[in-house]
Amino acid sequence: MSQVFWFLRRLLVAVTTVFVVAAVNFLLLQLPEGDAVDVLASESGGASPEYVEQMKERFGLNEPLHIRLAMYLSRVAVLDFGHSFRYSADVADLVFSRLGPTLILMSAALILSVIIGVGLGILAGVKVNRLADTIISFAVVVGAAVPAFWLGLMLVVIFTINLGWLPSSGMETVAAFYTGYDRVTDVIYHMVLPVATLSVYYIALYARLMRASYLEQAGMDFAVTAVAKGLPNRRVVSHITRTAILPVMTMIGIQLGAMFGGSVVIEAVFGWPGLGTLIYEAIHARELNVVMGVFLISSILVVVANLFVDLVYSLVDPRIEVSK
Amino acid sequence: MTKLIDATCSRRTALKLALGGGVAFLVPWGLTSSALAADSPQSGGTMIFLVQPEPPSLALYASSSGPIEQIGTKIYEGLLEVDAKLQPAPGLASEYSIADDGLSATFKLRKGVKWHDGEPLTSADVQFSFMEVLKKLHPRASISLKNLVSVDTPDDATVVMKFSAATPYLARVLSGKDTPIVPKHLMAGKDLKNLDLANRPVGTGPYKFVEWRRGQFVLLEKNQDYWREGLPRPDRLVGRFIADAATRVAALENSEVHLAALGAIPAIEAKRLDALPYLNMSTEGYGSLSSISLLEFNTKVHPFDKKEVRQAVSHVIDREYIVQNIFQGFGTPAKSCLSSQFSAIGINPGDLPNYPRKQDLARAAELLDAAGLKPDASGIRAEVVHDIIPYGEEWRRLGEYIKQALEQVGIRVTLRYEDAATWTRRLYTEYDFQFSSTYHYHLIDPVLGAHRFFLSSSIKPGVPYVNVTRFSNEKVDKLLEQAMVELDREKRAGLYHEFQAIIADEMPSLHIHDMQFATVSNTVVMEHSTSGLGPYGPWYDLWIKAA
Repeated sequence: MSQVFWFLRRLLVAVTTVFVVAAVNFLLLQLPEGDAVDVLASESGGASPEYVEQMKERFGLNEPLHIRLAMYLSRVAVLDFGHSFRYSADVADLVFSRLGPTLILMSAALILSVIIGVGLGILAGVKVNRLADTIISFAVVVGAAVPAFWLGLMLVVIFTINLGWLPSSGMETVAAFYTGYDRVTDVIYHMVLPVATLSVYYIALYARLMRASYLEQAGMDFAVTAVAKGLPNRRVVSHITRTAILPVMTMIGIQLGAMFGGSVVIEAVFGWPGLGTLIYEAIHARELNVVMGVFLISSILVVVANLFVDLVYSLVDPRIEVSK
Repeated sequence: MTKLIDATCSRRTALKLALGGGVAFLVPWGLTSSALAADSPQSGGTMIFLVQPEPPSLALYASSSGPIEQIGTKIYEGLLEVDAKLQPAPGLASEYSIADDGLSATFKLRKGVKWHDGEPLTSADVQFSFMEVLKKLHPRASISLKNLVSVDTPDDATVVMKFSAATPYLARVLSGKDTPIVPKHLMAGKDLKNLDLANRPVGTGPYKFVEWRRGQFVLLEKNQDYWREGLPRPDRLVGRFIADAATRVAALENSEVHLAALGAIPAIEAKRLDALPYLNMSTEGYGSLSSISLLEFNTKVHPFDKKEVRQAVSHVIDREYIVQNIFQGFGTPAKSCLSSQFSAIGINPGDLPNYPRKQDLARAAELLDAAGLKPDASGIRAEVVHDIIPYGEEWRRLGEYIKQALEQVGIRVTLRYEDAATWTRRLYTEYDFQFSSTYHYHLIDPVLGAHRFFLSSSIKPGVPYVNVTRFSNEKVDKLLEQAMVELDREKRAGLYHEFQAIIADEMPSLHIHDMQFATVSNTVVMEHSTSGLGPYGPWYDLWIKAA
């Protein structure tokens, strides 16, 4: 019973968060100078005054601010993303068609960075102050410091231009018309560089966190007792890991939003057809319906992911009950 | 009746001769047509070209933005086309004639032309396109076809246009790029501003629209029923979108894409890529843009409200240096306020004052003294803010150069760089600027591309790319109005020469250089710039050489 309450309460908080984010986004987006019509007309290299006036009317830019905010929030309530005149398409179609590639990119990078990061962190923790630890710790500092766009371009120079092993950009080979298994292979082939670039920072982050957490737990009474009892090394490591991983999981939940932000850069560099490229274009075009659509979807994504992390918590560590 | 073009005239032969003889000689490093003439064209293959940035829609009939035109012109066609010498050539109309008074024009439509969905093209489509679509929705056609009052259709294959005043440039604005003919049967009776057709175009052109994957590519395939027998040659065209410039370069180097045009590749990289054995660079095919760079002054605020100050700036900047070092040698120093491309229609004013190729600081100082801008104790004559047009790195370099150059004569410059929407609003709505860099497309006739920057009637707050300097001169207004309807070539050129002389003296805007763009292409791509429209051409004669 208490679990149901917990879930409902969290859901309420989540929905409120999404609404507050939507309202703040809407107001923030009123700050930049210039609107969608300015951009459209200047892209066309000129327009008649009648044309400009006609477009402003059509885009609803002549309504006062509070009316537009109220209209927007009432549409958010029914998950109506609105229509984009610039793209001549419904915002929901635009956003959802781009959500898939971003999710593929992010989840691959997430899984990869958690597995490698946590693995390296444990290894460094077990071999603390030995050669393996030194190498890992050094690599982690470098990995966390390298800017993603630079790393991406360097990987392209090495693996695409010099070695010719991997494609430079895109999600699949255009006009190759692969289907089924071939298509999956093709997409994976295109994913290697962007996923690697996006993961490097997070591998470093999780490895560092995991190492610190592991060392902290290794000094705890339960760990010392386990060693004193003469448990095999493997069992000791697994005991410590289970408690040590909790802070890493918290971090994963928090970092999801940041990872989404990071994928904007990665998508631009690798021509990956995700939300990042869409929002970048849309901000410059002042196509606010699309920008707010992406913001809304990403805020929902982050909120849901955090809810999920909380649920996983209780599975990893039964001492934590969801009701508390 | 003044003009009649034979439909069967072999345009391609004429083109090859022209290109092989003249341009090939002038552009020694380019993809020259004379070298190609030896190879016989092959059919088949997929040509992948970069389009930058990704267009918002493919509604060519309602927009003149570059990326839409780059893709749309392969799908839609116009009554006429533009040949390599920027002269009109037959398109959907196999012949046409314009009445001597310029008040009517008759077009004979080609027989057997079909829309991509199989419906036949008729004069009703043409009438609908001009009267219901282009005049109402197209930002440029609504200006260029202002005098078009009616389009009559005596029969299915004949179109008669009626004008309220002569339109000397008519035949040059009827290409698929400027005035595409659209399918009435898919548009009539619908909300034209919100059509499915905007993203799934149906035209008569050499390529059919297949699919658009947003963020990735637009796929076009060969139109098997194209009215030019045996054409187009490639099976497929793919327009790819890659947001990052460095990645675009890598994709070309890795032969993942075959062609990049119109600034998709930064100028400095274009030269490097040209050195690779499998890549070529060409500057052909951009004549119809007549692109020119300039500084626009706010003539209503200090210090640029005095013409001597504006003239002084023109003597301070070194046009030659700018072309060579900032624009990597792409272009030539400007000699007047109109594009040098207009010498093709007889407009060539000769030497005008105030357009020195080199810097002349002494003359600049004289002019500033004359304007009453004396240096203060620390040598400063004035402090100004320079706005930089937010369309690429070169303009930032230009801004930095201008800052340094003007400080040599005691004008202290602060640079301001904002994003496109903010910059557009600042200049064209709020006039909250002193001077800004920019570039204009003068297009294929001054009426289409240049008049609106100088006419008093074009001072329109809120409308981008009009008379932002708010310069107003009765004589200029009169000359431009006359030139707009003057049919005699010599007289028309004379009017423009007089106009150019006034602007050279008043200098509300200071023209810097006639710009050139580069097309970088893989050596397998043949004949991509045989039309005067270059990357905006229909590409029906382009072909892919099997490796």
